[in-house]
Amino acid sequence: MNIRWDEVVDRTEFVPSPPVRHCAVPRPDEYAFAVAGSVDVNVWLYGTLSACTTERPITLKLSLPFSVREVLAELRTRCGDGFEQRIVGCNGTKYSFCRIFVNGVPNEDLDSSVHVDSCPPTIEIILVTCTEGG
Amino acid sequence: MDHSRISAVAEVVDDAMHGDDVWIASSCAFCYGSCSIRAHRVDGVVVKVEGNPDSVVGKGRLCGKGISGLMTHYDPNRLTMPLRRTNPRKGLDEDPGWKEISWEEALTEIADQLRRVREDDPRKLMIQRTTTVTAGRVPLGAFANAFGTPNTSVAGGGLHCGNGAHFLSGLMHASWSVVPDFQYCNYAMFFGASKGHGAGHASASNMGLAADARVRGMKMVVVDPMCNFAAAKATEWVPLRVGTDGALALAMCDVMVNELDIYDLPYLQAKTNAPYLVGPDGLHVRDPETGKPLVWDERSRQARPYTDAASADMALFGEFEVNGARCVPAFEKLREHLKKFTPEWSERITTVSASKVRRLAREFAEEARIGSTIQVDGVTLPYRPVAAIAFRGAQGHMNSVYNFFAIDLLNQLVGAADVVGSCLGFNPACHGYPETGRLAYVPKPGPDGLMVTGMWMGYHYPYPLPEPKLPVQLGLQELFPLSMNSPFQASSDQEALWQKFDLPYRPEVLLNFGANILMSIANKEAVAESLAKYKFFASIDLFLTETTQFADIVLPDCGYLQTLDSRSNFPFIFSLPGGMGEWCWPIRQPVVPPIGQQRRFQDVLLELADRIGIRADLNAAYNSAMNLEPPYRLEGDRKYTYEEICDAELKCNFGPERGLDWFKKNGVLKWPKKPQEVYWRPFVDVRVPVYWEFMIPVYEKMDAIAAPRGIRIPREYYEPLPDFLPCLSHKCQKPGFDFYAFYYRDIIHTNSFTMENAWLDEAAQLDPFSYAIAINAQSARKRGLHDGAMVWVESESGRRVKGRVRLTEAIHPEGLGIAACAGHWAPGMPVAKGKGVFFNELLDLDWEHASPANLNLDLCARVKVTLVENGK
Repeated sequence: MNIRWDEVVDRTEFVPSPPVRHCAVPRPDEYAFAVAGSVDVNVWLYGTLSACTTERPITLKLSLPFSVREVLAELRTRCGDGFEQRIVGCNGTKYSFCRIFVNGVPNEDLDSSVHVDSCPPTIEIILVTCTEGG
Repeated sequence: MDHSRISAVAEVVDDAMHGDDVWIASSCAFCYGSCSIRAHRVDGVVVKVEGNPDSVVGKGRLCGKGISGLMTHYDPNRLTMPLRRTNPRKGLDEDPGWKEISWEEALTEIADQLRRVREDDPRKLMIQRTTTVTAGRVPLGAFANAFGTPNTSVAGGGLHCGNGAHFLSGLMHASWSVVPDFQYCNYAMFFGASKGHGAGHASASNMGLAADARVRGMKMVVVDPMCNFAAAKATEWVPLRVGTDGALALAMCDVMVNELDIYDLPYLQAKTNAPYLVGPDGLHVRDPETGKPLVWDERSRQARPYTDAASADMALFGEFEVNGARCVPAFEKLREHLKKFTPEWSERITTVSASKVRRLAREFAEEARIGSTIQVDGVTLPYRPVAAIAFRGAQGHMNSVYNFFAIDLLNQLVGAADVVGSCLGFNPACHGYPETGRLAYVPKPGPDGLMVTGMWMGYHYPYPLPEPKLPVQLGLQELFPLSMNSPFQASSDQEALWQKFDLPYRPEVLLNFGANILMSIANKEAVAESLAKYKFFASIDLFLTETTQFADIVLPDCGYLQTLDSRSNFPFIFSLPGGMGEWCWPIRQPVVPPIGQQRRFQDVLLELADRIGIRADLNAAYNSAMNLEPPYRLEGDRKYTYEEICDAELKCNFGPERGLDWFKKNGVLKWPKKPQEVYWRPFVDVRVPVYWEFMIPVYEKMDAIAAPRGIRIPREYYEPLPDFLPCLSHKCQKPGFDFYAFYYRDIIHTNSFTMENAWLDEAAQLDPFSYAIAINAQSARKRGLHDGAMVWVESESGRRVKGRVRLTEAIHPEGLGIAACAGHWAPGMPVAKGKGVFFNELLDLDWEHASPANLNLDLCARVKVTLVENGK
């Protein structure tokens, strides 16, 4: 008798991902540093991306709430059309070798709202293009 | 050089160590297995190195290489001072004219060069490292990412092994390598692999596990041209013609599917893309709205997206009409495809008899016990106690990708993938460290529901394949998405290729960490030419190797008994043993101080970053590489020491109480594995591809870039189903070239590095094969060769090496086996110099000898063997 692969175990036993560390996005009027529904966002570009501009960090003013994709769109205006192509592929998904950190936490979802709490948000972007072997 | 200054060990003993007698837990670095060790230090001198019984990595076992580590540490030929080249000419026969200089002078010049190219174009910096010392992975990678160069290389260790084995292991098992589940496996087939027999990932651990499995009664069949370390311990050795492993595996698949009718239907339905419908163009038939592949739902008798039908209702056979087009399930396509690979066809290619192929296929398929379950720690799991694994031997060829694909199909057909007793990836899923939740990862579904690894050694995942692009890397890897390592960073035709692809820059500065690419890739003339082109070359090394002889500045490195590494066995997919047991996090820590003016390479890289003003970038790169999270992230351009960086990683993962001091004192941290982690596949909703539809669009995009530039990429390497494609050596028709030369990992040596170790050299001299050429006794006698004869081995292209033959019955009649990566010629390695045979001299290094699929170099050569007469 052949046991069904999808009936052998209870798949809820596996915890697929670490706990989410983000909180709900607060209302814009809760930010002491937000002015008229917008916020200053500090963007640090590292490694090869740092050559895109002499400004470091780059301070962007964005309307709340905002996503990382909106940050990238704003960066395009500062760093040129080629900037986004180094971060996302033609289908709009982020390259796996581009690492984006929002307030120090890895961000894989370009479209989710950036959580903002007590201070201006910081976005860090670095390309980790080295291949591996061995 | 005058080495007298380091001849007395007492000179380097720290006063504080006088009178001490301590055992210090650390990690070996004599191969990338990084087994856990403990070093016995008496009066400041290391007197013994042995396995650490407290650690899962080796469980107290250590191989002969690891035991011999102190001989390399105390080798009087170790570098102890920075050196400057005074002879501007670079070549194989040039004396560099070394002159000792200060660290300040050395670092100033290197920093000036780095600053210059970074301002010009950071891609002009090439960074290469050895794979032997895993402690170099994060620091060198972080430095490259901070600097902004994509040009890195892991030399021969990567190019010879990594491209086929790791890509396929990642795509099909979400791990860097695969291994039989030794604790439960009953029938293991090894295709050119030595997992469990003294080499490779989790080396010492697997040795113990494999030995226990053999005692338990696991049948082990080794398919290999040579009966050496794995085959000698096997139940059965199956000798075959070099480079034909894929043909044998395909024939076994044909027997299982088309003759025996044995396969795990529910597994293929639920865990692979076997049910996905394939149209006349070879592409999946897709749902117009969602773009998802369609399957034929037997219950509703219609085509539905794969997410909308129960897997038990998905058809694997038959022909259907969907939207006016005829289509078949991918498995039907595979079944038809396999019919041409009959055992009789295979016999002509592999020399393995058709009857033996049928027997092996039957044994494998029947022992798989399809449909059975077993309880492990109270959890009921699928039980498939068979495994087919492969590594360097099977995949080091032009047909690298298909060989490995075909071999893993054996596992996939019977559902022997990451379940009890089966072919396991090394730790593809982890619930994380229980107290912090850190280190949790698991494979997840990607495009078309196919598996994306949860953890990888870098950020170029095997799947989804990146879009082929006009390359800007020196190795052209962007154009070849199945590749990782490239021969074109040193090939004889690199300039012609760069011109064809309009590469907008040329490399100018090389930073080397311990790699000896003059020996580890291919013939030395081609590599020497590429090395001589660099305007500036700085090498961090333990010895004046053949490659470091080409440097402008040499920096004396600390060895593994003098250095620090907070993650000697992480990622867990690399060299933590697979199977049940415990998770384990060891570190590597200094046992003794530097000798002379040696400095740790990690400190040197931090210093260089400060001098060229990229400390903030380097901190960010470390944050990324180590996934550091607040409050342990490295901030701004603060000048952290390497101890502080290691401490941050450990505390971030294991909590504030378990930083570097805790690990230095306690050695390792362990926690138990759960069955749901080790045998994760039933719990995770991912599929793996037994039909590689993605190869069709990938090829078309590659061809659109390459063809207009006069580069023809053969389509036959990019078909969705595996085939047998011969190596160049199989096509050789020249009279007299009747042997297939190959090299194999000697059990007592690691790449070219350990040849300088006095104990290992002594052992190698006692071994009849380590420094000789193994040749089949009957074949040799037919050609008038006697045991011990000195011969020339000459390749088709006229490359030749000289060595002494050893006659043996334990090699295929057409095989010619050369051990390890021997034949050093550098004066800075006098123990190694002149010992053994330099096999790689036979290898051509160009486009023609690289796999058009994954750029793997073809590592076999058709050769002619002639007696050396009158010394010529």
